[in-house]
Amino acid sequence: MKLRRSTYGAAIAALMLALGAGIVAGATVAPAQPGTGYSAPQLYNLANASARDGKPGLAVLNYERARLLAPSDPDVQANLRYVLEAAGLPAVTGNWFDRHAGLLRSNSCFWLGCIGILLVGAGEIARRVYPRQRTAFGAVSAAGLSGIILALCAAAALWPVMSEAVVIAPTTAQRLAPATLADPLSTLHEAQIVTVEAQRQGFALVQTKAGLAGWVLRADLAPIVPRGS
Amino acid sequence: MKTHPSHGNRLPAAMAGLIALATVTSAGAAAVTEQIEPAQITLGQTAQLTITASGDAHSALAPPVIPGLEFVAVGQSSQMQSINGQTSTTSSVIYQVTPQRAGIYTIPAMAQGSQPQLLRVLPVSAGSAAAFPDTAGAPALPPAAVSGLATGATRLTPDGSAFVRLRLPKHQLYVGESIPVDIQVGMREGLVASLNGLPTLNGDAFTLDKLSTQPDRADEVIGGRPFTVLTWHSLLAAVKPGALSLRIETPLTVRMQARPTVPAGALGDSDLNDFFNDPFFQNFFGGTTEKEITVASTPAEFNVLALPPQNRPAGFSGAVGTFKVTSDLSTTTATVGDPVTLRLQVSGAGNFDRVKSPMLGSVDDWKTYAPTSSFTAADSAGYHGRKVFEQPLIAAQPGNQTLPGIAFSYFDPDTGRYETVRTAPLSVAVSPVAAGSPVAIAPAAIVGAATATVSGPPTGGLRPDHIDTGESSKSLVPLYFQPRYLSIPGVLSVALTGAWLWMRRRAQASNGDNVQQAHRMKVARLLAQMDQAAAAGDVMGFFNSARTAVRGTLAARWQVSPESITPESTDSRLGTNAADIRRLFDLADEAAYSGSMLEHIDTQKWRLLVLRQLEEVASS
Repeated sequence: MKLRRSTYGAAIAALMLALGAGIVAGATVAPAQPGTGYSAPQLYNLANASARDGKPGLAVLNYERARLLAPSDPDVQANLRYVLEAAGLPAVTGNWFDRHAGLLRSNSCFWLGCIGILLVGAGEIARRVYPRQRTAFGAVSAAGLSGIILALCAAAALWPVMSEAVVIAPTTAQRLAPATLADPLSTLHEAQIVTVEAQRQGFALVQTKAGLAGWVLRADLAPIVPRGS
Repeated sequence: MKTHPSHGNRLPAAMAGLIALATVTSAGAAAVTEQIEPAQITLGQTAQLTITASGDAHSALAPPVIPGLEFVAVGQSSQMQSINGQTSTTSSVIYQVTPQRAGIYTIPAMAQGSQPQLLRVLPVSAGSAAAFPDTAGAPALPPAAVSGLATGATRLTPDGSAFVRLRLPKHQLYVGESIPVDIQVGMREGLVASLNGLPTLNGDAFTLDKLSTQPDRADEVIGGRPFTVLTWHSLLAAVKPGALSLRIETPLTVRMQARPTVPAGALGDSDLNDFFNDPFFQNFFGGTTEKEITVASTPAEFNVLALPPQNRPAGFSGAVGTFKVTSDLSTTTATVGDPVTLRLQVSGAGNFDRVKSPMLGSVDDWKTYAPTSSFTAADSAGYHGRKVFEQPLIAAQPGNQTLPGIAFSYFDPDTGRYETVRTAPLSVAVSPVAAGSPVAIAPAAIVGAATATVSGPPTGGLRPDHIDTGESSKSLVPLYFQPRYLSIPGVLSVALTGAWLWMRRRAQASNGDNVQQAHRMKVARLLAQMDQAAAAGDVMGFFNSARTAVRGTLAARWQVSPESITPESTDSRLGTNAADIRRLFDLADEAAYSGSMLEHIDTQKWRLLVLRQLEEVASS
C-alpha cells in the first residue's frame, strides 16, 4: 500500500481525535473530552502511524502505552522491538521477573488481587464456621493468596514504569545542572527510554538504562504514564 | 510596491543621464518595444521584462506600476548612432519581475505603438495547470481589467490629501455570498503624516475578511498630483437582504497648512503659485500642523437578495459560489487494518469558509475517522482556491469494497439555483491479513520520506494496524496507583480481618461456656455421688467425691489442672480461709487409709462446704 507522508500525518491526527487526546510539548496526553479514554488498538495504530511518519519517539511512546493496556499483545512487542532497532537503540529486555510479570494486565491483576483478598478472608472465616470442611476452604484461601501474590508481582513490575519517559526530540543533551548553559554530559537520542528521578524548573533529572544521569529539558521527554491521565 | 532598483543610486542616475542625453540629441523616430520572458512562470520564479526605447521616448523606460508584481532593474545598455549627421540613441533597461500572487497580469503598453504583454503566474502548490485546472488561470484580482473589478469612484478629501476607493465586481449579491473587493487608500506624500488604522466598514450589514497589515503599495497620479496608493484585497459579504449602502472609512493624520496658501494668480504666474503652494515648500518653512481625520469612500449601493428557501438541499451548509468537486483515494488496494485516506477536493470561487462536507459517516465494513480540511487560496483574497477534506478509513473486512459517493451542495449566484454535486463511488480491493506476516507498507513513498529523518522510519516489517474493539480505559495510570482504587483492597482487608477476629472471639467465648457447663455437670454428678455415699454410709466414697469436686472447682477458678490442687497450693492461695478445705483433704486421706474411724463424721457439714466453694467459683 502506498501512502504519502502527509497521509500518515492525517492518520495520526485522526487517531488522536479518535483517542480524544492530544500530544503537546512535553507530551502531556489527556483525554480531551470526558468519557473518552485510551484504547490499546488505537494507541497501537497511532504508534504505527508515527513509525511510518518517521517519528520513532512518539512511536515508542505509544507502543509503551499500548503495552500498559495490552501487555501480552505480540504485535505491540514486535513493533516496539522493530522501531527501537530501526532507531539504533537496544530492545527493551529486563530481567526474568520483569519479562513475566510485565505480561500481566495491570488492571486485571489489581482486581484479581482484590478477589484474592476476598477469597482468603472468606475462606478463613468459613474454616472457623465449618470446621469439618477445613481442607476445602483452605484451598479457597490458598487460591486467594495466589491471586494476591500475583497482583503484588504485577504491581512491583509496574512501579518503575510510572517514572519512565521517552525522548521525543531528535536529540537532547543530558546536562550537569538544570540550566541550558550547564555543561552537557551526554546526548540522548529520540525513542530512548529513561527513568525520571526528579523535576525542577523545566528540567528533569533522568537516568539512562546504562546508568548515566543528568538533567534534560522536560519538553524533550514524554512520560509513558501521563500525569493526571 | 517596490519599484526602485536594487543597485543603489547608480542605475537611476544612469537612466537619468540617458534621458538627458536623449533630450539633447537630435530627435529621431520614437519607438518603444517591451518583451517579457518567459510568459508563464510558477509563483516563486521570476521573469525578465526588457524595455527598449529609441528616439525621444526614453521616459517609457520607467517600470510600470502593477499591483502584485515587483520590478527591480538588473541591467541597462545604450547605443548611439550617427548616420549622415543624424544622431540616434537606443536604450534598454532589464527588469527582474517577481510576482507576489498567482494570476494573469497585463503589462500595459509603455508608449503608443508598443504591445501590452501578458504574464501568467501559476500557483506553486499545483506544479502544473492540469493539477489545478479550474484556478490555475484564475486572476489574482489586482489589475482591474483582468479581475473584473470596476475602477471605483475616487473622491478626494477637500484638501486633496487622501482618498478611499472601493473596487467591486458587482452590486447585486446574495446573503452569505462573498465577493472580492479591493480597498484602496490614496495618500498624498507630504500631506498625510500617517495611516492610523486599517480601513473599516461603516455599518453592520456587511462583513469584511481580516485585512492584511501589509497591503500592496503603488504610485498613482491623480489630477497631476502623485499619490501613494495602498491596496487591500479582501472578501465582502452581506449578512441581511435589502437595498444597502456601504462606505469604507480610514483614519489618517494629515498635515494642515498653518498659513494661507498663495492665492492663484497672486504672483501672476501659475508655476510660481504652484511652487509656493507645494507641500514640500511649505513643510520646508514649517508652516503646517497635524490633524486626525477620517476619510470615507463614496457610498456603494447594493441590492442584496435572500437565499431562496425553495429547493434548498438538506446538506446545504451555506456555500455560495461556483464549485467543482472531485474525490480520490490514497490507494485502490489495501489490507485489512491499513489506513486509507479518502480525499474530497472542492475547488472554484466563493465563500470557502462555508464550504463544509460531512464526508463519510458510518460505512459497513469500514472504520471511519473524523476528517480534516485544508484550504489553499489561489489569490490574495481567498476567493478562488480549493479546499481539501481528508478522511482516514480502515477496512474491517476483506474483499472488493465500494465507498459511496459524497454529495456537496451549494448555491450558484450566477444561475440563482441550488446545485448538488456528487462524486463517483470509489472501489478498493481489500486483501486479508496473512496471519503473523508483516505488512510491507508504502515502500516507495515512505522510503522517500524517510531520507529526511535521522535514523529513518521503519519502511517494512511493522505488523499491521489493529481493529479497534471499542474497549477503552479512562486512564493510563494503573489502578494500583490510583488512590481511590487503592482503598478497595485496604477496606476489604480491614473488613475481613475484623470479621475473622470477631468470629474467633465468639468461638473462644462459646468454648468457655461449654467448659463451665461441663464442669457444672461434673460437679453435680459428684454431689450426687456424695449424697449416695452418705446415704449408704460409705465415708470413703463421700470424701473422695467431695475432694474431687473441690479440686475441680478450684482448678476451674484458678485456671490450673485439678492434679495441681494440693493442700500446700490451697494454703498459699487462700491463706487462713483454706482451713476447711485442708481439713476436707485430710479427712479424705484418712478415709482412704482408715475408713472405719470416720463413722461419726457429719457428712452434711462437709457437703455444705463443698457447695459453698462451688458458689464462690460461680460468683467469681
